[in-house]
Order: sequence, then C-alpha cells, then structure tokens
Amino acid sequence: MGRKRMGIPNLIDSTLDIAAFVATFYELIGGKLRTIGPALEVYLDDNTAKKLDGPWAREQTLLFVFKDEDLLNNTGAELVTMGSYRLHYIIQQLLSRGQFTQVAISPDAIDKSKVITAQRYYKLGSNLIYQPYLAITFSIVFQGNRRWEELHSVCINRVTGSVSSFNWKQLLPYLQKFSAKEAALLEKAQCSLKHSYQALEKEIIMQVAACDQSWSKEALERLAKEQSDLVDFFDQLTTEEGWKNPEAIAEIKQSKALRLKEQEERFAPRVLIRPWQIALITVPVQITSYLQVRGKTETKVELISTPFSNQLR
Amino acid sequence: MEIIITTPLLRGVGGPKRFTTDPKDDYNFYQVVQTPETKELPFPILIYQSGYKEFRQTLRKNTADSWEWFSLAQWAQELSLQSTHHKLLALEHLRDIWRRSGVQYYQHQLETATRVIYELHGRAILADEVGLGKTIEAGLILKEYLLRKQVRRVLILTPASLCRQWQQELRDKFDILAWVARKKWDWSTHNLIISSLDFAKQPTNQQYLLKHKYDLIIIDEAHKLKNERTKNWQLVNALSSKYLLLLTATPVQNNLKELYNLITLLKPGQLGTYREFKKRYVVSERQPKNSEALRHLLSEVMIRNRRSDVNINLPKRIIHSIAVELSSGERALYQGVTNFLRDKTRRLGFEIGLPLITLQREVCSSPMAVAYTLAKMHQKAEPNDQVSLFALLEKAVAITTPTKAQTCLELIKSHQDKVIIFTEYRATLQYLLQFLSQAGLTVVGFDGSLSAGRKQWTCHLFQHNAQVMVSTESGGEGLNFQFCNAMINYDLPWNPMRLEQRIGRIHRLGQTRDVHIYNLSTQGTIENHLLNLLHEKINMFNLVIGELEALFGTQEGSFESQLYQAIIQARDENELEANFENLGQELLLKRKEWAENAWESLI
Repeated sequence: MGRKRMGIPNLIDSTLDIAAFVATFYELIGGKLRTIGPALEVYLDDNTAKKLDGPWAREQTLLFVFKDEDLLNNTGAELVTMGSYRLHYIIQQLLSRGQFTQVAISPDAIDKSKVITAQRYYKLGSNLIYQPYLAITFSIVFQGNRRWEELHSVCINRVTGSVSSFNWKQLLPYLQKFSAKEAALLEKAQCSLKHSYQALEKEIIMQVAACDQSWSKEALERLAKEQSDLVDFFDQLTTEEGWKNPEAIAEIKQSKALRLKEQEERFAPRVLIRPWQIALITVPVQITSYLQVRGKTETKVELISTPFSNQLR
Repeated sequence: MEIIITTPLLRGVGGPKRFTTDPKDDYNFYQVVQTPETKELPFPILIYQSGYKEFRQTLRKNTADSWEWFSLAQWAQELSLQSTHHKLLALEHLRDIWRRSGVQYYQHQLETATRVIYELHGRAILADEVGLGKTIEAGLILKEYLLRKQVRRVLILTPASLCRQWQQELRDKFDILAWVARKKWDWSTHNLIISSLDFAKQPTNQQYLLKHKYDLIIIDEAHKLKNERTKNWQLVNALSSKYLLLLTATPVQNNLKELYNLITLLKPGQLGTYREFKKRYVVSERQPKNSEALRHLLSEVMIRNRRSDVNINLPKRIIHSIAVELSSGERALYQGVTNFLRDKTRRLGFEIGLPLITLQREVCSSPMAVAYTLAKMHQKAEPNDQVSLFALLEKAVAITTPTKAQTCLELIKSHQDKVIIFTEYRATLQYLLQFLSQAGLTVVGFDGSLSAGRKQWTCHLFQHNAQVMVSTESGGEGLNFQFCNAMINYDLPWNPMRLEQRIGRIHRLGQTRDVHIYNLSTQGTIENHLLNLLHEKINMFNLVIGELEALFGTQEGSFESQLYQAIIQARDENELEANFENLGQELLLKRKEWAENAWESLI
C-alpha cells in the first residue's frame, strides 16, 4: 500500500489514492499507524478519539482495507472505498474545518537559479523580506444541461496589489507555519482585506469570463430547441382547444409559462462562484541588487524573486 | 489487541449525518454579477453573497486551521469532486453500502439510470415490468443527482402504504435521509420529502406545493395519473420541477390515451396535441399505427425493461391447486346461500341479485366472513328474508373449524418455513390469526386498518420472528417479502391483476428460492370455477404482465363484472359451467389478439 509522507500530501499524483488519503488523515490527527499486508491498522488513544468523535469516544483500534478481495483475509476489517461510511466520515470531518489557514512559504521556494550572470552586472548584495498575500480557492460550478465543479485559486499581493493565479500544488513542499521570524521581516500591507477580497473576486470573474464558452452555447442550443418545441405545442393546443373552450386558454397559458420556466432551469447555462478556502500567506521576496555598467554609466538594478516570478526593477 | 468495528456505533452517535444537501447550493445565496466583462457573456455569473462577511467572522474568531489540515481538506474536496463522463458516480459510492446490506443490482438498472441522466436529461417514465427494480433505478438516479449536486429539493409521491418503504429503502440502500410528510410544516422544513398523493392533494398542502419548486419529483405507481381529468393528474401537471420520474409497470392499461397523458405530463408536445396524436398514431384504443415513428418518440421519454430482455432468471413459480372438499355443514351453507341468491334474482331481477354474489364469495372464504355479512343483512332485511337469513346465519355459526383452515394448517406445517397467507376478508383474517395461534404457530396479521408504523413493525416481525403472516389485499401493493417463498391464496381475488400483485410480493428480484403458490379452492363452488378458468384454461400464473393487462385490464372491476354476469345469468350448475367456458374462450381470443398486435411492441 503506497502511503504518503505525513503532512504534505502530494496532490498531483494521489488524489485518487484513497489509502494514502486515509493514512494521512489519521496520521494528522495523531493516530498510530501500522500496515499489516494490504491492511492499515490505526490506533487512536483516548485523547485522540475524544478529539475526533467527542467525549463518549474511547481508545480504539481500527483496521481498514481498500479492496473488496482483502476483506476475506482480514477479519473484522472495514472496507474503505468511495462512498463508504468511513471515507464519507473523513471527508466530512475535513470539510467541516480546513477552510481558513495562515501559512508562510519557505524561501526555498524561490528559484535560485535565476541570477543575472551577464557581463557588466556586478552583484552588490541581497536581502530577504516577506510580503502578505491573500489567496482564495474558489469553487466554480458550471451549470447547463450538465453540471460540473472546479476549484480555482487566485492570490493578491497586499503590498503591490498585483493579482495572479495561484498554484497550491507547486508550493506544497515549501509551506510552513507562520512564525515570529517571518513576522519581523513582514512588509506592511497596503491593501485592506476587503479590497483584496474584492480584487480576487473580480479576478476570478474575469477568468471565468475568459474561459471556453462552447459548453454554454451547447446548453443554449438545447434550451432553444426544447423551448421552441414547447411553444409550438402550446400554440397548437390553444388553436385546437380555444375555439371550443375559451376558458381553457388561460390554463394553457399558465401551463406553458410553467413548462418554459422548467426548461430554463434545466438547460440554461450559468456559473456559480463561491469562495471555498481562504489563506493568509506570507510570501518570501528575495531582493538582489546589481550594478549595471554601460560605458561610463552605472545603474543600480534589483532582481525581485518570489516563488511565483522573477522581475528586474 | 481488540479490533473495534466502529461503523454501526458511529452511525448512531457521533458519526456524520447521512447524505443531505448543502444549503450553500441554494441560488438564493447568490447574486448575479454585472460588470463590463460579464455583459457580453452568453450566461450569467452568480457569486456567493456572504463570502466576505463569513471570512471576516472567521478572522474574528481567530480559528485558523493548521496548514496540514487545510491541504488535506483540499484533497478531500478533490476526491468529492471527481467527475466521470457517462458513468455513474453513485455506483462507486454505493458499492460498500450495497455490499453490507446485500443489495444485488443488475446491469439493466445501471443502464437505465445512465440513460435517464445522460440521454433523457432527467425526465423519464420508468416502465419496467413488475419486480425488475424500478425503485432501485429511481434511487440510483436520485443519488447520482445528489452527488452531482444537481438536485437539492426532492419530492417523492407514492401510495400511502409505500411511504415508509420508500423512506426505508432510500435510507438503507442509498444512504439518503428523506422525510415522510405528515404535517403541513414538513414541506418547508425538509428538502427530501416523501408524501402520499392523497396527502399532497389536501388543499393546504397543495397550495404549498404549487408555490414551491422541486428539483426532482418522483412519482411511484404513476398509472394513477393516466386520466387527465383526475385531481391526481391535474396536481402533478401543475407542479414545477426540473426533473421528473414516473414509475409504473403499466403505462398503458386500457387505451393509448393513458400513455399520451403520462407523456404529456413528462414532456408536453412530445406526441403533439391529442388530436395530432390520434391522427398520426392511433388506429383503435389499444392499436397503434406508424409504430416505428411512435416507438422512436417513446424511446426518448420512456424506458421499459422486460424480464425476457434483461437476462434475469427469477426462480420458478410452482403452482399448487389444492382442492378443498367442503364438510356437509359447509356444503349446506353454500347451497343455502346459492339458493337464496337465485331466488332473490329470479324474484327481483339481476340488479338486486348482483351484490348478493358477495355472499357466495364469502362462504368460499370462511363461514365467519359470511356470518358477519348475514348478520348485518338480517338487521335491515324485510320479515320474509329475515327468516331465511337467520337460518343461514345459524348454519354459518355452527361451523367451528372450516375445512379450509384445517387444510391451510396442514400446508403450513408441511412447508416448515415462512408462509404468507392472503385473504380478501378481514373476518377470515381474524379467524385465521386465532386458529393458527391456537395451533401453536407464530402468526402476525396485516391489513389496511393498521397505522403506517404498525405496518412497518408487522413486516419486521414477520421477517424476524413470526412464521406466518395473514394479510388482506392492502398487504399486496408494493411491499417486499423476498425472504419468504411460499404463499397461500386462501381465497382468490376476482381481479387477476391483484392476484399477480400478491405473487409479486415474493416472486421478485432478490428471491433466491423457487416460489410455491398454493391456491385453495373449495370444490363445487364458484371459486372452483374461477380457479379452473384462470389456471387450467388460460394458464394465468405463467403469463407475462403485459398479457395479463391485455386479458383482464387493470381497470378495477372490468373482469369482475364479467364474472358476476356469468354467475348471475346461470340458472343452474350446467349453465354456470357453460358461462365460464364462454368466458374462457373470450380470454383466449383476447390473448391471441394481444400477441398479434400489442402496444407492448412499441417500447
């Protein structure tokens, strides 16, 4: 069973690895893990069990398997699959929390290979500061004749106000607890939280507006066809019924409006955006100063390196 | 070290709630974004209104989670967002639940659910033959939509006797918590709600339903919506929902208009106006034309799986006809009732005689059943009749142990396993409960007068404690007793569709053993003639459901009235036999016509 190292799960290649997910969860809450063949044994002491399940819980040992066929050789084991009680339980536990964090990115995340090596550039020195960022992962629901949901992360530098996409997965190995060391080197934010939040909302809206729209065209075509069929039917019905029973016309009209509205609910494309996770991030900024010499002119330039970019200033 | 299986414990106490809907999916929490970028878009963008407010609250509480927890939550969300193309998420989610609860699913059920979601876009008639698992299909579709968050508010309309069963099946087989509506405020407090059509039709409830939209409405036993003039049809037509599932094994019972009415509820215009439909597709009430075109249109809204198509081999039905020889006292009673009936008919005409046939049927069931009716008639009768009725009543009460009950007891003892007994009459049911209990058997009784809770409890007792259940017809609709493989028809209903409903309770998916159907018939009575007609003449117990409908119609009373006519018009035994023979010939002819030109071939 491929278990992952505790703490920073690798989201890139293991999102479907339920065994690794379960192991990481129990390790995170303080369980003691042991693999027995294909099975995973988890021991929760009294405190951990109480933390997880409330005051009635007591010390317990759980045994999990992840494939049907492993149940036979592991008496008393619980099968954990998509939709199983256990996985649902873990997911609910995680989703009920884990919506907000404060975290620092290690300076190791900065790509150190980006240095100016050209002749006429002379390195003067470098210093490290930290800048406050706000990052939000938005849940975006695309709804038309089918529906799907995606997560998109964007962040804002609260000093400069610059907004960009944010890739959590790339930064996972470099995340660490925000400590006094970073706090001492932290620049003051120039953008308020409200302004930053609104800027990220605006950014995500622009990203959605710029995305491929073929899905919505498909949904609109379907809607148009369904509604046109409905209109034809009700018009015909009005012609047939109306002359013998004028009172029926009002009913037909009402029915027509109801069914048209239903079709709209079913097929009309729309996008729903909601913030799902929010993080206050302290991002390292490496400022390296160079002296550029051109003939008799000397200019001081700075290479600003962050985990996201390298820029000359 | 002790291994603790915590699943059942946690379910009861500290575990997470079962699958419910996320309130943040409600459109009311969103507002439309209006910016220059969104103006030109072919779709609106809606943004969650309270995002910043909630974020500020979190900051104020200073409850930041650890980074590890945060990242694992992201992993959890990615797991729960897994999307599949043209596959059912529900299947993977239900694998463990079905394994634990022993649910066996079939390929046709998965295919049906997939088609409804991907091709029919959530509006369909599920018209599988009885016992092929329409409820499982509907449950799968519901679960799938819930997992995909495409539905939030769900309404299930079903006959009252099936509300609890739906609730239980959704809970046990699909891990879905639904609420049975009993009070008017239930509508507004629950997103997943089950109600009987009758309850939904009550003015205050109807008022609520008409004002509020549902994402998905499921209607079980949807043949109750076949007539557009009924309140049932009109209520459903006035409801609003994105998705609609109509479940019925009999989309056509008497004529093609019924099919038209159902489809019009589902997708108005699919078959044009009724005038157009008749012109294009109908030759006569049951005979379609332009079948190929009509079949195509129907396939866009209806799915019908037949036993013969889905490669399911249900266990055999073994039919036992048990002739019961009446004792002299019983024979005298039957003869007395027959003479009384014929005398009344001769003197007062058919119209007076017709209702009296019930007396004959009751004698065939038990002396107790007829005694109850005779006593009531005696109180209201004219002096002349009072004498005859009293004499009959005396004969009835003199019979202490009917031969049929004795035969029934012997059958149960020889079967040595669970048995369900069906009778038409409550008096017979009460007597059997007493008689079988005295014989040392564990018996429970089930009839329409029980409250929903008692019905549920009685079914539970039958499954886990009792050997015998005695039930009236009300036990015949919708309930499942696959754990039992023997049924005694203590008396025969005169509507063969109801007989098929009875058998369907034990002869259905999930039944693993051969099913024994014991039909008790009293020799030399109308019951005997009826059984001969159904079993010997037309082999009713082996007909497929479509054939049964064609022969007997499902319209209550149509075949029964033919039987009444056959009996009432006979002046003696020979005439009675000849009338039944003619009836048999008519049925055989109908069967031939059905085979040659059936609406069934359309779908």
